[in-house]
Amino acid sequence: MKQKILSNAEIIGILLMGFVALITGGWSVIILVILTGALVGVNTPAEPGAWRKALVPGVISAVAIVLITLFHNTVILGLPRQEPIPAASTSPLVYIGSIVLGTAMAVGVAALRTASNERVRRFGLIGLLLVCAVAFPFFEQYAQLFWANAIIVAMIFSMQALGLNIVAGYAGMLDLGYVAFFAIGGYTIAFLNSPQFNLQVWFWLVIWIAAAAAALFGLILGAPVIPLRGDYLAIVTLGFGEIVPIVFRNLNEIRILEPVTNMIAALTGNPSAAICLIGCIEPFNLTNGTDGINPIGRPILPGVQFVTGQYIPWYFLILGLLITSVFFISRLRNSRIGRAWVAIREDELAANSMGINLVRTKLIAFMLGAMFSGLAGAFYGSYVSFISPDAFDFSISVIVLCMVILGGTGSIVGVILGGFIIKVTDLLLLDKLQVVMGGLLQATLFQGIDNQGMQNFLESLFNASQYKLLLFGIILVTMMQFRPQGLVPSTSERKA
Amino acid sequence: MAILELNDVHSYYGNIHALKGISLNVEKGEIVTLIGSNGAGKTTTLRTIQGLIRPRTGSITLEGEELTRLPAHEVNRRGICQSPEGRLIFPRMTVLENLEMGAFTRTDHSNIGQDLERVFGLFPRLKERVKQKGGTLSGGEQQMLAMARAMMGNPRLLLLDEPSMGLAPLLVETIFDTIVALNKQGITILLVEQNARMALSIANRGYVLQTGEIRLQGDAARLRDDEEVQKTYLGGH
Repeated sequence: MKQKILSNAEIIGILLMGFVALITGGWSVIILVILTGALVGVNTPAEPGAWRKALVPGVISAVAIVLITLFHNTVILGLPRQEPIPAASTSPLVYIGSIVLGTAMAVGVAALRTASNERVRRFGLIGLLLVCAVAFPFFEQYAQLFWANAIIVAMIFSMQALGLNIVAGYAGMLDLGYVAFFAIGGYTIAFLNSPQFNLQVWFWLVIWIAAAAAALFGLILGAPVIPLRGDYLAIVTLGFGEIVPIVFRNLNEIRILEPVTNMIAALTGNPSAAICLIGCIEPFNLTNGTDGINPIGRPILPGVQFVTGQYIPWYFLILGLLITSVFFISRLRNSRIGRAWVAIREDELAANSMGINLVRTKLIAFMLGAMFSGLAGAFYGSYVSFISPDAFDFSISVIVLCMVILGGTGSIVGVILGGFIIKVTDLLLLDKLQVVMGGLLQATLFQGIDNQGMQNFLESLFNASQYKLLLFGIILVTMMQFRPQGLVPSTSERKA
Repeated sequence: MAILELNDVHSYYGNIHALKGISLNVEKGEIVTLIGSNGAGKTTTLRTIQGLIRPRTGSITLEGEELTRLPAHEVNRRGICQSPEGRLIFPRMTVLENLEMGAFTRTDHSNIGQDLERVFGLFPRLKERVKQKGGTLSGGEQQMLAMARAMMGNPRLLLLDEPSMGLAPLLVETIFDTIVALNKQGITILLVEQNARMALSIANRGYVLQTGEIRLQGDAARLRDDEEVQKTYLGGH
C-alpha cells in the first residue's frame, strides 16, 4: 500500500492553521508553526524512530504555513483598511527560523512521545507545553499580536467547559442551563466586591463564596430534578438557565409588602394599611438591572497589579487556575466517585444494582459542575470588571456544550482544546476575518458601486462575526456526523 | 431460618398489577429456581427483591432483616447481588473494571484480590480477556462477566436473571455447570429461568409463576415430573 505523506488529520490541521495565517500574518507565524509542528508530532504513529517519520511532514507543514504568511504579508496587507504588522516580522530570517522551528517541534514532539525513558515520555510533553505556555504572553506582547485577551477568556471558558464535562461527560447528564451557575458566580463577586453595596470582601475569599453559592444553587436545582430521566433534566435545566439572568435583570426595584396586611389593604382599598418590609422609602436595587454592576474588584497579590490592559498577570493567574482544575478533575475522574459516574453513564440500572446511590452520585456531579462554573464566573466578572444580565444568555450554555462536544466528551485535553478553538475563533479570528473581508470588498466590489447604502449592505452581508452561531451549529452537526467522539476522544471511547 | 423470605408481595408497574401476592423463601445453601413463561413476573420478582421496584404491600426479609422499603443500593450493601437480565455489563469498561465495579460497596478491601482470583478460577475465559472492553466480548463471555461481577460483591444471596438467554446450547451447559460450582462453594442462589428443564435439573426447589402468582411449588424433582409442568414448560406430551 502506498504510504501517504500527510495523514488526513495533518492535512485538516494545516488547512485550518493556514487559514489563521492567511488572516493574521506578521509574527503569528511563529505560534502557528509551533502548533502545526506539535500536531504533526502528535499524529506520527508512536513507534521507534518516529522522529524520522515526522521530519518530512514537519518540513512540509512549516513551509506551507510560512508561504501562506508570506502571502498575507505581501498581498493581503496591500488591501485597504488592513492593520499594519511590525516590520521586523517580515525579515527573511523570521521565515527561515519559522520553518526550522516548526520542523524541530514536529520532530521533538514525536521523539518525546517515543522516548525509551519512561519519565522523559511522561514529563517531556508536559514540560514542553509549560515552556510554550509560559513563553507565550511575553512573545505576544513583544510581537503586538493582541491575542492575550482572547486566550485569557478562552482559559476561563475552558474551565467552565471542564465543569460541564463532569456533568455531561462523566455522569452523562445533559445540562442546557449551565450558564445559570456562571451568572451566579459572577453576580456573587459583583455583590461582595463592588461599589454596589460598598463591600470589599477579600478577593481570595470571594471566589470561594461564589463557587459555594453556585454549588448551593446546583444542589437546590438538582435535588428535585435529578431523579428525572435525561430529556426532562435537559428541559428543566434549560428553563433554569433562562430564568436566572431574567431574575438578575429584574431585581433592580424590589419592594416587598407583608402579605396579610397587603391583602387587607387591597380588599379595603386603603393602600397605606399594608406593612412594608423591604424597600419602603425607595425600591431596593439589588442587581442594577440591565445596566449591570461595575467596577468589580480585582485579585490582590503583593507586588502584582491586576488592571485592564495589563494581560500578563491575568494570564498567569488564570493559567494557574486552569492547571489546578485539570489536576483536580483528573484525580476526581480516577477516584471512587469518578468510577461511579462512569458506571451510571454506561448503565444506570446495573450501576444501581452494584450498590451505587444514583441520586447522590449524580447530585455530587451536578454540584461540582456548578461549582466550576461559579468559579469561572467569578474570575470572569473580576477580569472584565463588569457584570450585566446580557453577558449570560442562553448562547453561553450552548457554546460551552459545543466546546465539550467538539473537543471530546469526557476527555480533559479535548475539552480544553475545544474551549480554545471556539473562544479564539469567536473573539479573535472572526474579527480578523472581517478586517480582511472588508479590505477585499473595498478593493474589488466597491470600486464599481457608488451607492453608500449598497456598500453598507454588502459589508454587513460579508461580516463574519454575525455568522458566529451558524458556524458553531455547523461545527456541532459536522462533529456529530463524522466524529461523535470529539477531536481528542476520552480513553474509554477509544477502541479496545 | 430462611435467608430470603417474601411474604404476600404485591408490585405494580403504574396501574398494572404485576405481582399478585408472591410468597416464597430461600434456605441457606440452596439453589431455588423461578420458572414461568414470558410476562409471568419472574424478573419483576427479582427486581422487587433488589429494591429496583418498590412493592406496594407485603414484606421482604433477608435473614430476618426487613428489606421491603430499602432503595436498591442499600439492598446491595446488605449482600444481595444480581446478574441482571440481558446482562447489562458496562460495555466501555474493561473486564477488570467491570469486576471492580462489582465490589464497589465492599469495605473489606483486603479480601477483594482473593475474590478476584476465585472468580477467575471459575471463569478462566475472563482472565484471558481482563484488559478487553466489556462490549467487545461474545454473548457467552458477557454472561460470565455479569455473573462474575455479581460474585465480586461477595453476596449472601446471588440473584441470576435468565443466565441462559440468547446463548448457544453448549454454552448454556457451561453456564449451568458454573452455577452448580458456585453453589458448591456455599453460595445461595435464586435462579430465574425460561429454560425450565435445565433450571429444574440443577435446583433443589422450584416455584412456577403464572401471571404474577405462584402456581406450583415444591422439590425440583417433583416439579419436573408434574404433569402440568411437563405439558406447559418442558414441552413434554
